[in-house]
Amino acid sequence: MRPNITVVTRTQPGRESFLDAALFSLSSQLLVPEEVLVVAHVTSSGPFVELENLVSAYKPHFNSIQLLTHSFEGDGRTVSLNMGLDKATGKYLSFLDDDDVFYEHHFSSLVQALEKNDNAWVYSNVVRAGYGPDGNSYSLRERSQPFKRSGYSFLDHLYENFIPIHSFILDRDKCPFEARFNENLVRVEDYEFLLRLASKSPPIYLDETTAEYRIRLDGTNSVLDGSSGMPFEEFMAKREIWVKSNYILDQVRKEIVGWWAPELREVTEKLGRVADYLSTTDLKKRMEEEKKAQVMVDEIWSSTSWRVTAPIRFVGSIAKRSPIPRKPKVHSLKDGHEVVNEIKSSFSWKITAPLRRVKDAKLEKQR
Amino acid sequence: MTTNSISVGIVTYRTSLEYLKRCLRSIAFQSALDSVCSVLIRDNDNGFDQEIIEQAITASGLDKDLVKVINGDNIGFGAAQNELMKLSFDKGASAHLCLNPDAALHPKSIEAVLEFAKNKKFLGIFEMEQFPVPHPKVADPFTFETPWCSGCSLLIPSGVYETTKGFDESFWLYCEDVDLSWRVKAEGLHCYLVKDALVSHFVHARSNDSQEDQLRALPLLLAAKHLADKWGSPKFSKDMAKEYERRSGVSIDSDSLKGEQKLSPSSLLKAQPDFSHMLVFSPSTWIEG
Repeated sequence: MRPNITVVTRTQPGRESFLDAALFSLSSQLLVPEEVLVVAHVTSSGPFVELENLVSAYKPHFNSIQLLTHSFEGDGRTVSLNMGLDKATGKYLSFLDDDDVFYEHHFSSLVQALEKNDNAWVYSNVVRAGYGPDGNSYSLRERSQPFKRSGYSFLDHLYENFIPIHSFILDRDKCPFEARFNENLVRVEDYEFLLRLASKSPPIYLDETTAEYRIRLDGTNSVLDGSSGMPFEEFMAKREIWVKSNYILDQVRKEIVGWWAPELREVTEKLGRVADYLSTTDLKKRMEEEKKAQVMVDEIWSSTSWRVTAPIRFVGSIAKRSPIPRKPKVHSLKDGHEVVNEIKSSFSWKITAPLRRVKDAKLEKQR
Repeated sequence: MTTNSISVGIVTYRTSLEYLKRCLRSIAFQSALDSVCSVLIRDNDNGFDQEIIEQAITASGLDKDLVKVINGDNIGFGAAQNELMKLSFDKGASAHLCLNPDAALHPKSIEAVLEFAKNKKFLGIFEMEQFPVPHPKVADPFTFETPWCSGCSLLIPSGVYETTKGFDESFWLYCEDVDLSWRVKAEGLHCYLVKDALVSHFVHARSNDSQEDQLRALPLLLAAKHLADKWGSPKFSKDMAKEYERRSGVSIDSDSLKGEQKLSPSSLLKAQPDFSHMLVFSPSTWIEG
């Protein structure tokens, strides 16, 4: 019988403790995947006793668990994914890197969503868990949700990678093209795959947290986080890989959208900033403030002191060949205060100080 | 029976088949299964879950002779585990593993916890590390001592049971483990976190609008108030009562246990009850961003 769920897990020899956690998270699922393909990128012909023993230890937990190896020269992460895809027999495809984990309801929730809908893929929320060195191992330091969005937007996705590789499940039968990753990429290969997929097939977004993206805060992950203590050459090499990957991504964006993809990015980012501004500021409050600021400016502009010295400023402007001052429009209290302060520190305001003193004295006497 | 023969005690109350099956399967696949002398299930719903329990046992692949099911009234978690402990220690088990039905053991967890406990001469209680999200309470990176042990997956040696008489049965659900831990420490014994023994137990809300947290919160607040009353922390007790009232709209009567836990100053010094870190009862090792 064809298994329902296949999980492809990338690893390398020497990372057995990470892989153990990943496999434990698979074996303790409420809906256990039928097929697990552990793909190891190896640099020698083996044997890989520890890796083989670990995979064997999990045999009772799954209908099928296999260890596949390849010795691709260079960064073989994308080759590993495609090797897994070639062997996968499941209807639903999922990917889990050896240093990440699923929460127990990942498959039960996501597969249910796929079965209730007609979409080709589904994704959910992922927690970013920061692990710091703690003796011989790593300990959790912080949990956050930087990938969480209020919903799915293709435009946002086009320029922002917020769907980690293990947060989605693909229904292979509904995938609009042969499911394969671009081997020219050794970073963001999953993002590029999803962009191609999303451009043809919208996802289901499940607002549940079902997985964890584990990051080591000492910089031993592939992302740039935690790189502050890293040797300069190593940092630059890592950066170089990212620059190349981003270049390829830009080409893919142009293929999907058109030559004007960079312009679309600018517009999207501007819209994003406006949306942020509107959502984080109380519009009504701002309008009230604007009104208050304008009243403040109007009052000082129409004051006797400012009006009687207007001819002096007029003559001054003519002499300096500068524009004749007009009453400014202000949009915030800050702008209003700036205008008032500027007036109060001007020469024409200072020379009318005796007038204001006389007026104040008169008012005092009346009281 | 070997010196390291342990019983596993599971208390159920309307537990779902998928969770119980997963829990029992994880016992069946233990590398140290030969150390397990019995798996005791107490159905606190007086046999209501019998069908589910039988299905789960069959599906788990566990040897049926190893499993014993006891039906009874809902006497609470601590009292039910005490009943199971008494039963297993009377039959000569050297330690008892309290295990939540919604938890699943890593294949090497029992082997790891037994090895660790043996190295510590079984002088304390031994908690397995929760996975994938560890409990936030601290643990010494060298001695692995921790301020208290969670009852989710907790190894209690027979000697410790004899000294402490197990859980305080006046706790219905929650905080009985904190209370036991402090009493264990007051006796000069220790609480340990065994990091190599993983137990899958997910207690975090799945989504923002989750009802799970709300459902858990009220009994937890009641238990925490009871703990504070027992260990003499009126401020914490008042805070818990206030929070309970805020969430439920119901005020709770003052507890009759005020300061019941009478301890000598030296025992209190050993127990170190901590009411200054809210419901974690310990400083936290990680933060939620």
